[in-house]
Order: sequence, then C-alpha cells, then structure tokens
Amino acid sequence: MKVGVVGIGHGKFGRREDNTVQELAFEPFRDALEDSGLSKDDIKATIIGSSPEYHKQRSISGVVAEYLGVNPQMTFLVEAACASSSAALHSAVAYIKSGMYDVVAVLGLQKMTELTTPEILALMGRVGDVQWESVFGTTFPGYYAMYARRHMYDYGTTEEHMAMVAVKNHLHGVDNPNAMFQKEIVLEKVLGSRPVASPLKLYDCCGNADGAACLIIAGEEKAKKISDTPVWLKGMGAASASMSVLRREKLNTIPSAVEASKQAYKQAGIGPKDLSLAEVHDCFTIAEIIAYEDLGLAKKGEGSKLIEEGQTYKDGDMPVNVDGGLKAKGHPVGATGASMAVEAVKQIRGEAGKRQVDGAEYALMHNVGGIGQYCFVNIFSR
Amino acid sequence: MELGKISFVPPSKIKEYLTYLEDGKIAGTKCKNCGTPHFPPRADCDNCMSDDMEWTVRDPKGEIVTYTTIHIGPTGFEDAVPYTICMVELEGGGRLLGWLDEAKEEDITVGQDVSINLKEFEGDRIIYAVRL
Ligand SMILES: [Zn+2]
Repeated sequence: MKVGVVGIGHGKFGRREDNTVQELAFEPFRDALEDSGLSKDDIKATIIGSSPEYHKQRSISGVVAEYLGVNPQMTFLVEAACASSSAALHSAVAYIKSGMYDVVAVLGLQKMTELTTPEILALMGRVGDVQWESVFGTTFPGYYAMYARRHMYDYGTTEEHMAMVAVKNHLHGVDNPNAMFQKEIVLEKVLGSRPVASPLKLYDCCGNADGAACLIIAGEEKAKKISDTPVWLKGMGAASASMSVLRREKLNTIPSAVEASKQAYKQAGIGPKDLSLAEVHDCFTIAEIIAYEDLGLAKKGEGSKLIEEGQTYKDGDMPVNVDGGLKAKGHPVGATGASMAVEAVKQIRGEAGKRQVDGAEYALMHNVGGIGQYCFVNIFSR
Repeated sequence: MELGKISFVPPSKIKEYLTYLEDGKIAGTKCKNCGTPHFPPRADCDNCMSDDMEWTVRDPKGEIVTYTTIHIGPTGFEDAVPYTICMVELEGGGRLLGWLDEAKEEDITVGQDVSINLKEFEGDRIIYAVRL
C-alpha cells in the first residue's frame, strides 16, 4: 500500500521561551489539519516524536494530546534522539500499512529553552556511552569533531570546506521565514568563531531551538479522497549503529545512514542522481559533508568537492538544505525529522516560495539520531 | 578507584576491571564459549550470547584513531577545559578514549603510536593518560 502525506504544518523555530510545549505543538497541528481539510475527529492516532529529557513536563504526549483536543484517540511518544519524529513517522506508516488506522498525525516537537545552561551542559555530557566515554568529558560537538578530524586526515577535508557548508545554509535560511537565523554569514566569520571542540567552532554547530512540525498521513485510497495532491512516501529506510563510538569500524562515515539510504533508494526504485533535492542532517557542518558521501551524492572522500564547487546551493546540480538546514533553521531535536519531511513535501508540491527548487520531483530527507545510533532516510515524490 | 573524571553509572558486572586498573593493568574480557575478545570489557557476549567470560590483560600501547580538544566542557568538566580526548586503538584490538598527557594537540596526528598510562587523579580516580 502506498502511503501519502495529506497535510503539513510547520511552526516558527527559535527561542520561544514564552510558549509551553503544547502551545508550540498546537500551531503546526492546526495548520496541518487546515491544509488537509480534515477535522480532528478524522485523526485516529497522534504519534509524537520528541526527546523527553529536555522537558519539565513528564510524559509529554499526554499534555499535548489533551491540548490538541484529540482525546480519546490513541497517542504515545517515540524517542530516537534527534531522529525522534522520523521514528514517529516510521511507526505511523506501519499503522497505516497494517490497516489498523486510516489517518494518523505525526507531530515532532521540542522545547529546548526550558532547561538552564547548567542543565543543558549536564545533558550534553551524557550524549555518548556513559560508562566508557562520558567519563572522559565527551560532548555532542566532541563526537562530530572526532569524525571531522578523521575525515580531514583520510580525505584532505579542511576547516574551510566545513565553513562553506555553514555559509551556504545560512544563505538558504534567509528565504525561510520559519528559520531561527535568517541572516547571511561570511566564511571569515565561521573560521574566526571561538573553538567548541577542535576542529569545530561555534559557527560549525547548529543552534538549539524550540519548535514543532506536523504531518498527516493516510493510505493510498484514503489519501486520494482527502487530497488532490498527496505526496507519496516512495522509499523509506531505517537503520541503527553502535551507540559507542569505540565500536564504529570507521569514523569518517555514519554506517546507519549508508544502510538506511540503500533501503530507501531500493524501495523508491531510484538512485542519488534522480534526486531533485536533499534535506540532510547538518547538526554540525562536517555532518553535511559526510552525508553527501553516505547518501551517494558524492563518492566516498569527495564530499568536500561538492560544497567547494557550489553544487549543493539551491541553483546547483544537487541542492541540499534549501530551507537552511539545522544550521540556520535551528535544531529542536524532536521536531527536526518532521520539519525535513514538511519541507520535502512543500518542494514536491511546488509550494516552497522563494526557496522552491524548479521542477522538484524526488526529495530525500536524512535524519540522524544522536551520533548515528539511529538514521532514517525517506524519499518523497508525486 | 574508578575510571575517568566522574562516574555516571556503577561499574556493574565487570567491576573486576577496576581491580586490574589498581594493579596498573588494562584488562578486557574474552568469551570462553566462542573466543570473541571484548574491549571495553563486557559481561555478556553479543556474538554467541554466553556469559562465560575470562579476563585478559592488554598491552598498554596503540595508535591514535582520532582526537579533539574540548573547549566547552559538560558539567563536572568545567575546571578541566581545554582537554584533548584521544581515541586509541590498542595493539591487541579494542579502543579506548583517554586524555592527551604531557603533549599538546599540535604535537599529535592520526596514526601516531602512543602509550596508555594509568594516572591517579583527584585521589580516588584513574585516568587513561595518552603519551607519545
Ligand atoms: Zn561468545
């Protein structure tokens, strides 16, 4: 059974301290309902993707479902770190395919600013394997810094290449009204920013943001009844890799991304060359360069060439992160996967406004959880 | 004695590891059923699912796989920044993270041979000190 997206909604990403999590969730949910033309009684289940450790409210699905007014329909939370809402989408698709529910809402949400800086720093210290790695003070940027260092050694990637990714994504973010940063930056600014975890500097890192995004999905027949323009999930891939970085054979790749993308391309019956655009998980600039290679947009080791030649700009051969990516859009952990999916659907519909990629036919999204222990890759098309 | 600057979880089923550390030795486990070596040590074998393990002492030598210098440290590490974390592949297989000692980040490179030294730290802790 084909599964289609029939409604999308996307809230503003950024510092939104004055909103509760449920208020953040309400905006894209209402917009997705309006977009689909459905009423909330048509939604049989609401699956929420979020990383629970950021919220003061425990068991967040309960309060969100109540605020959205979807009781007594089924709801629960899915967690896969930064890929939580992709995992929620994955679960939702299984419900649709099984026939258990005919219309399901997927809601990615996160409020990062509820925590104080010391609380954020405490969480940051437990991102890796806490038994053998965190005891030496590893951090989230620290892990990607170790990937970056190895990629530089193996393939000659430079700090300038990484900075180029930041410059591109900030330029793209200018045309995204939902982005946290709608401001261009120059290469020197990235290279001159203060060190976080060498070789990564402040401007190599995405920003912590609050935000939410929503998708409503349905099976083929139902989707055609609801919408004249459903966008189909043509290929889905999901994979995992070791939590411990010590157990990764290679440090210049995210093996779960390689595996998930293989599955997605195979199911969609296309290859990387057929893609019109890709939304990739640029939590750090090096992550985008590695994603080019893991997704087959570039040969292994040649990711830096893609950015150097400008091919991943909106007007290039292979536009990547035309909505600004995590870098400019901000990264509300649990909302990021849903946000990527919403952008992919907008692009396929031709409704992306100033950032529309001409004639977008196939859009891929690549959502990595944590340091690669989870990865989801989805391909959308008409 | 415990490993690293701070602990988040108890040493659990493999706590004998700490006794080896106190003796100046780095130990891993080896599955007595299928022979798979495990480092860091595991109490249970994910290859054959056996929990019948023996301890094997490792040579404290290896090469640098990758490294980073942390400038913004997490809670409990604020007073240690900047510190350079090195991932080292041990000669007998298996990897560990440790802190670069008696050298600077500029002095090291991927692939470089290093030794792992067990260094007492803050009285009741042991650090893997990575030295050239
Ligand atoms: Zn075994």
